[in-house]
Amino acid sequence: MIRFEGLSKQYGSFVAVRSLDLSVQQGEVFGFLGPNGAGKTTTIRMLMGILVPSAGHASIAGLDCQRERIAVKRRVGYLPDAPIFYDFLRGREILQFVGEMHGQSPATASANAARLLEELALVDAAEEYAINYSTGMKKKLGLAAALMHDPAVLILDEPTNGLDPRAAREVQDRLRRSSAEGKTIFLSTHLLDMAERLCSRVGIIHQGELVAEGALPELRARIVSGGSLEEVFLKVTQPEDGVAAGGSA
Amino acid sequence: MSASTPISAARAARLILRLRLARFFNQVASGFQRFRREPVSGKRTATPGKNKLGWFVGGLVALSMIFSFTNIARQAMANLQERLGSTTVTVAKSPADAGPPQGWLGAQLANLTKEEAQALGRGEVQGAKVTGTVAASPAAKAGLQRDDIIIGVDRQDIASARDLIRLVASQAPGASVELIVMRSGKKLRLPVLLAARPTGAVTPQHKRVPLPAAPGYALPWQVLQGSLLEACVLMAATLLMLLASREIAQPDWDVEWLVTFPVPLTTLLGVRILERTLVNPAGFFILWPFLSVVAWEAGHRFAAPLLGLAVAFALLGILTTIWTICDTGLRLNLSPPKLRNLQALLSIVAVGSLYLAMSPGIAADSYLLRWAPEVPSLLLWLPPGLAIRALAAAAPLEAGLALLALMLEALIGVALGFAILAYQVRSGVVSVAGRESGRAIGKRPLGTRAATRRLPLSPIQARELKLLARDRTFLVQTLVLPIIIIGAQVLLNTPGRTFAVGLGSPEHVAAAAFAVAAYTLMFSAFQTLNSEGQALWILYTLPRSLEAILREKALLWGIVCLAYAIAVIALGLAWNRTFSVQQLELITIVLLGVPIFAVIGTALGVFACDPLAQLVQRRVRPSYLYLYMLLASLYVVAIYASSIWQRAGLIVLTGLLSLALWQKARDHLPYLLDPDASPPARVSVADGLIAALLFFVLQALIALALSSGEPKLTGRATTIAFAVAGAMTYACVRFAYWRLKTEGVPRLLGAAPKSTLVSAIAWGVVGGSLAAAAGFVYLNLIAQTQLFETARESTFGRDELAWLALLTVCAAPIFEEFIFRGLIFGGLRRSLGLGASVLASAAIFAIVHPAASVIPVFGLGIGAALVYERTRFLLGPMVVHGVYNAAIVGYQALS
Repeated sequence: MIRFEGLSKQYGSFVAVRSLDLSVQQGEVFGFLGPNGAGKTTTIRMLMGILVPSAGHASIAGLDCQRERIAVKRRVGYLPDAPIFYDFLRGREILQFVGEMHGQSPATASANAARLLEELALVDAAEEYAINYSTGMKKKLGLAAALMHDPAVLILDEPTNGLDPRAAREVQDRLRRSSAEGKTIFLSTHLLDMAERLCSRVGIIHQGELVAEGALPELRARIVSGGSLEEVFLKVTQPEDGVAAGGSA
Repeated sequence: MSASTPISAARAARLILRLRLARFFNQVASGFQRFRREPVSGKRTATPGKNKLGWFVGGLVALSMIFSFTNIARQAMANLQERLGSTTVTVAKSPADAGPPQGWLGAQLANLTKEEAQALGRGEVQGAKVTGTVAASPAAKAGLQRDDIIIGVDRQDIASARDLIRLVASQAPGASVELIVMRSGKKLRLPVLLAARPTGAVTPQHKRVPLPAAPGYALPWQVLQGSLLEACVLMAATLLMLLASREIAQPDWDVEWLVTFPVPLTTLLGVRILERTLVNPAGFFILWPFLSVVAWEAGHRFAAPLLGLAVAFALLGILTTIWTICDTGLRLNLSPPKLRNLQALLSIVAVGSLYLAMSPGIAADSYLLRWAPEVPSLLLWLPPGLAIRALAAAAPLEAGLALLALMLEALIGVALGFAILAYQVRSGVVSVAGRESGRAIGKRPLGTRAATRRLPLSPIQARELKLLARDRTFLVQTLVLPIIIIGAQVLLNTPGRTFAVGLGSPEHVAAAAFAVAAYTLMFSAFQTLNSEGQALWILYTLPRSLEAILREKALLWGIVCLAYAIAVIALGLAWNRTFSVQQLELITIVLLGVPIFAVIGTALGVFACDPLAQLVQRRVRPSYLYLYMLLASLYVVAIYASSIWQRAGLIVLTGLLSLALWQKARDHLPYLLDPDASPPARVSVADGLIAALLFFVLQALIALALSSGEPKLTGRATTIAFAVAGAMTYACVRFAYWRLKTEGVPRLLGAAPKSTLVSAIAWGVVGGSLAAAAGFVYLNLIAQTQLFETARESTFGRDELAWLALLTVCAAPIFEEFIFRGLIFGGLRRSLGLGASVLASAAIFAIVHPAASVIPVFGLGIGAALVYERTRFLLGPMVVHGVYNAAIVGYQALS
């Protein structure tokens, strides 16, 4: 469903993502893990056609994420790391707008918005300006916006970051339900316990390179022979001494 | 338990100040990144901007701002000297000597040109043409109009404008005469009751002499008063501008951060005042030039900028104290929405006061100059008064004393302000009402929903209107501010009668209508992308191209601004109840201009917008705003242009420019949020326009060099200039394309098989013959109707004819087809349909030709574009062009 082929991104001389090859099957929940600044958000933004790959390409459902981005977006729901909304628009109105932009009739959009606000426990805040939402509420509203058109693929950047434990649990349940409905979910996170609970397969990215990839039990067995995902993570993302020190000679 | 070592207030102040200055310099330096080398290490540095020319444009803009502010200040001072610093002395000729009162008509007159006289068809007899009338004058009352030709008064013929003036002046005021007037070919008789010439306009009998300087100062007393008032208004404008700046309504992140340090709050606030005084570009831009000009006038010459700077510092210290007290107080007591509403109001007052401050520099008849004598002398003992006194004092001792007093007052003011601030924040900096009012509005706003549904609006347009209705700052900025600005221009700079005169002239009305619309577009269409702000990502998640969304917004704003323009035109028509073909033409220009500039504004807004910038102020690149204003003022030329061909030319050019800019913006949009990648180079309309410009400029330069002063070019020189310019343009464009690895470069033939060659030529011959046939029809038609008097006075010699043939049959097809078909039509075709591309490219091709051949060349352009579309090689249209030119030139040479 999602495919990276030699996907790379450079900012000037800084390589953010280096020749990424990966594919995610339909119905999978793929966890994209990595330390801060590893290139997770850059990769996700390339999937959304926000950034242009320096080399290689990414595709969703066989459609190129850059060249056919309009068609891609019909099939994809996206939640950014820190969603920012328009001032002076209420939560319900934002969902309504997103629905209508996806070609839904005003009535359908309105019904979908009401359903999602209910599901994500945002009903109380529906008539409040979204700019006043707390971080967690913004995140949930962003998720609701991503789910408005019932997309086949969900691309989520840190979906539970900033949520309280109850809200985090609610979001995870909602995602599990989507997965059960056959949706493909690609989520980035550095919350390892969530990845362990939710993901069928993970990839770990470190300094722009994919350093480990596979189903969880397989990874544990292969890399730290029976250890936890945390141990796997720490092992593969160890800073290499010479490079990390960045000698000035 | 361990605790960090406490630091002294001075040290804290130094550290914070250093941080603020470092931030400011980084902010400035980020515009100049081009000068830095690429980082050698693989370490992550600040990503350089994509806009390679940003530093250059930015520097140019800063320089031009300093220059224009200084220039306005200088002009204001000159007006102060003229109006206040000199007195009118009556010389020699007293009013009694002026002779008996003379009759006055109140019309501006011009002599007839040769063509106009011929068009009248009255042989030797000439007349005087009316170029305008003074409102409420006898001429206006009698219904005299622009372009009327006065051929007689009573039974006397009029030979020239001077003749008419003499004749009218010989009559007594109150006399009744009959004007014989030609208006659009018909003869009219208009009775006029002459009036007395209004006083003031009579021949100068008065002389202005400068007043003596006030005792102890280098400038006259009245000028000091004027400068003082100007300084006060400038200070008020600065304060209002600062208060209206966007930052206040947003959470003040760095105060929230700084209060986490173990430093008393009062220290933080003190540092804040200091920092705002030192790092305050807006304040310096507004105050420094005028103060320096005062010092210059007082004879300080080259020390003037330094003196001005010192005084500006002292005044800014006081201003920033007041500013800080006000914004802290406002933030503490008002909720963000109320604060924004207040700011919206303040921004209007700020613009108004800035205009008031600038008005003495723009018009000699400013209100400020009228009010100056009323300035209370108490003000002289307050900071602005002391500042002016320090700058204008005659002796160094007095200047020093005034400066000392100013510094003392500034210190007292800051200390007082500091005490107030300390009192204000006695219970902390966190405000009570921190949230936008949203829930307060309550239930579902069913009314607004129903209203937007009834209109045929897309979701984007509906959302835009909803935001407009709720965000008062946005509302004021887009819909109210343009009217205020234009209104202020008219009211402050041209008090009194001139306003009525302006409404009486259709050109002025058209220009005002276009200006209001263009200004409104600058605050709306230009901001379409910018107003998305940080929420731009939402648009990237939608299955619509950003271009389509921007097109909807441009359409919406185009319609809104069109309504503005129509309102102004309607006002003009209501005032001046005459309607002529000329007015219809002007209205058409305005109504075409608004949509064109909605497109230009939106496209330039895309380049101007930097959604990746962290700072709100840096999200718009001002240089593009200036470019937009420049283009808009260029379009106003079309309104005042003398011939329909010039107007049509300018409209076509601007229209094509809008298409070119839109295409560039469209290419740019997918790369907007990427800090590094740029769109690949492709042949675009803009390249074609640049190439065409280069071609014509080179041609003119070479022709100038070849002619060596001769007014008339030989056929040989024309041909050589054309061919050399064409070849140079071709070489430049091909070189640029090769360097940039551009896609879609037009090919002459490429690696085409022979059959293609044959078919290209065949199509070319067919197209050329058809175009030539249309050309013959046209030539015969104009020969019958004599629409254009293309009397070809000079017949070509055999030698000349050979050069002409070479030019039209060989050189013109090769070079013009490359530019007009290859680049412009090819570029247009990339983003437009066939019909629109053919028409637009033919239109620009036509308007670069002489007026008489515009129509047949338009036909040729259509033919050549269609053949190019068909054959895909430039050979086809080149043959079309060659065949057409050979046929037409041959026909004209033979007949």
